[in-house]
Amino acid sequence: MYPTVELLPNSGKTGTTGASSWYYSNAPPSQSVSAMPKPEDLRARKAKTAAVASITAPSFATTAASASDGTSDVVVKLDPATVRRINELEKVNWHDVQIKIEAPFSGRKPGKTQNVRRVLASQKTFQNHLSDDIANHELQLQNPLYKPDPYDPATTPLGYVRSVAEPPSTNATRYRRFCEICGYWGTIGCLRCGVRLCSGECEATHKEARCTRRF
Amino acid sequence: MGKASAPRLPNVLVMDNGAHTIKAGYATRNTDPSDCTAIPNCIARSRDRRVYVGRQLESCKDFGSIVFRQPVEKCDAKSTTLILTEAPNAPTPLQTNMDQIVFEEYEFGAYYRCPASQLVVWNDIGQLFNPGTTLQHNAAECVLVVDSGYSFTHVIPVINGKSFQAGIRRIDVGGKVLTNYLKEMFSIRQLNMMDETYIVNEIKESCCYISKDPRRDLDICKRMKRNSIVKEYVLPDYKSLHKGILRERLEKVPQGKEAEQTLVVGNERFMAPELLFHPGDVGYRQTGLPDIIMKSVNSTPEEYRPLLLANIVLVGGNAMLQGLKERLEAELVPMAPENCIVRIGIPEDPIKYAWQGGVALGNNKTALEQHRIARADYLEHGSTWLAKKMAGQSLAAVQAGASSGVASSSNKRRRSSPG
Ligand SMILES: [Zn+2]
Ligand SMILES: [Zn+2]
Repeated sequence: MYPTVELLPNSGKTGTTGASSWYYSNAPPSQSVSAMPKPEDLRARKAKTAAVASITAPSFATTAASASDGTSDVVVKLDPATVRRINELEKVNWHDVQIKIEAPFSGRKPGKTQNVRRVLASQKTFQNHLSDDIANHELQLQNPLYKPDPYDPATTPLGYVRSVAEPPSTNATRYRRFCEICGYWGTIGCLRCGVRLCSGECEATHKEARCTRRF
Repeated sequence: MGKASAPRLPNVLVMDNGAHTIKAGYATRNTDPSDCTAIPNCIARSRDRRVYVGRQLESCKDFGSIVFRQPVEKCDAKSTTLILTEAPNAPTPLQTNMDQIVFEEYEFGAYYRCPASQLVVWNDIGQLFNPGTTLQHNAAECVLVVDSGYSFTHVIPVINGKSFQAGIRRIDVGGKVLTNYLKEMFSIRQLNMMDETYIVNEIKESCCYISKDPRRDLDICKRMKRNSIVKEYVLPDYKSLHKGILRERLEKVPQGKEAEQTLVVGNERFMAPELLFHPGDVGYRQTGLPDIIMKSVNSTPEEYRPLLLANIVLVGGNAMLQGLKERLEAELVPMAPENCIVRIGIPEDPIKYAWQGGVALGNNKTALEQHRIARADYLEHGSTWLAKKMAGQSLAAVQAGASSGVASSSNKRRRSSPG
């Protein structure tokens, strides 16, 4: 059978399960990544560089935004409770676990070449790579010698951040709420904790078994 | 293409490197899906604290409280061409890491890396819509690949064999979030299932479906105690029962079965997968699948749009959800331009379909020769060159510039230390 390669180190990082390169967290980049400049800074800088670049060459950022049918540059901000919930839902395991791997390459020293040893030794998470990518792109735009290729929607990647679906339009059912107890429409809210419920019956169950917060 | 140095490489290994399972197998003239090995892309630990890697999971009998940790698993063969998939919009350094492992650690003879969607189109797409038509051996011209996997759902227009980059759209809802949402619902409403990912996933696979009309189905579940939707799932105890059973709700507990633990599965059956259409139900500020499909289609040049809408192919684990095709069709038809036909195809095995496409490509010697890069060429030109080659065009200077420093220094290093 095939040998197993451990591409990734075991060390746990807070917030991730310390797992593969493809662990994604939905926390806004501004929260999850320390190396990344704040979105406000990014946008201000982008606008500035775009203004400069538009005189000499079409800017990657501006043309990309207009040509890709209004893909928003705005980082959608979620409230902390929602972020927490989404992080829970994207977890691989409910409890953070670390499983120790004894020997990634059984019986010999990992890495034939320096490149491979560098890859194996890397502590970078997917989030790190992502923020690096964004930061690199921004630095590039600031470089006065930088000349982007003409924007081509077929070949210019949108990137991870900008390819995500946009928020629904206002008339869509954006805030559908469901009864915590039975899953039916959550038309009423618990007066004590605000959790959505469908009926007096479910409200009673909720108050008895689940409602924790009291005024 | 002047590849005089390319050695004879008799084998082609196709690996679709999914976040949840790796689909791997050799391409031969008579390869069929049963030759594809699906390896769980994970390391797991069970209650007795035994560690399971990839395929060993199949020998694990106790899936209660098993915990998963997901590494990247790979495969070795020197006289082999490797066809390997990657996630769409993967950061360049990660791609380069992969390239270096492939050529420098495993020393594959030749290599082609692309998103799974680009392998999908090497399948005979026409057969999905009109079974029995003449066989096609080249890549389909225009396909809208909807890949709903473990971590995400991606929509990717593939035009003339290449992903149309500005059209790639993503929702952060995949099989993992669906399972976790289901877990959350069961745990609040009935029984703590938070540590039972494996079992809840089995429940999802056994009874979740996409409702044609979720409002109606919600009403049915609410108004009638007994209805066609509500079912009962007997949880495995790993003593007398090793796999859960889905059954109709029983009037009363049968004799001798008092110890059975069951979950009632009602509106959870369709409200969990409903997240694909309404990610907002758990708080994502993201539109649903029909919206991103239209967004994706509309970002391509006008002449391709009718073709893409008429060639939508659903792949990935979630494509097996009953009713997905019908619901998508129903929602897309009113959104599509009037003169456009909406046609959706789901392959027999949506999980292995990209892999099967890879096999088709592997068997197409001319096409394979055009796509793969020989190891000798990599050693001569280096990582940055390879990355550009793989992207199939001179990518934006943004990416080339970002990694050129690293790559050129690594080239020097490699020459001084022959490996
Ligand atoms: Zn209720
Ligand atoms: Zn309450």
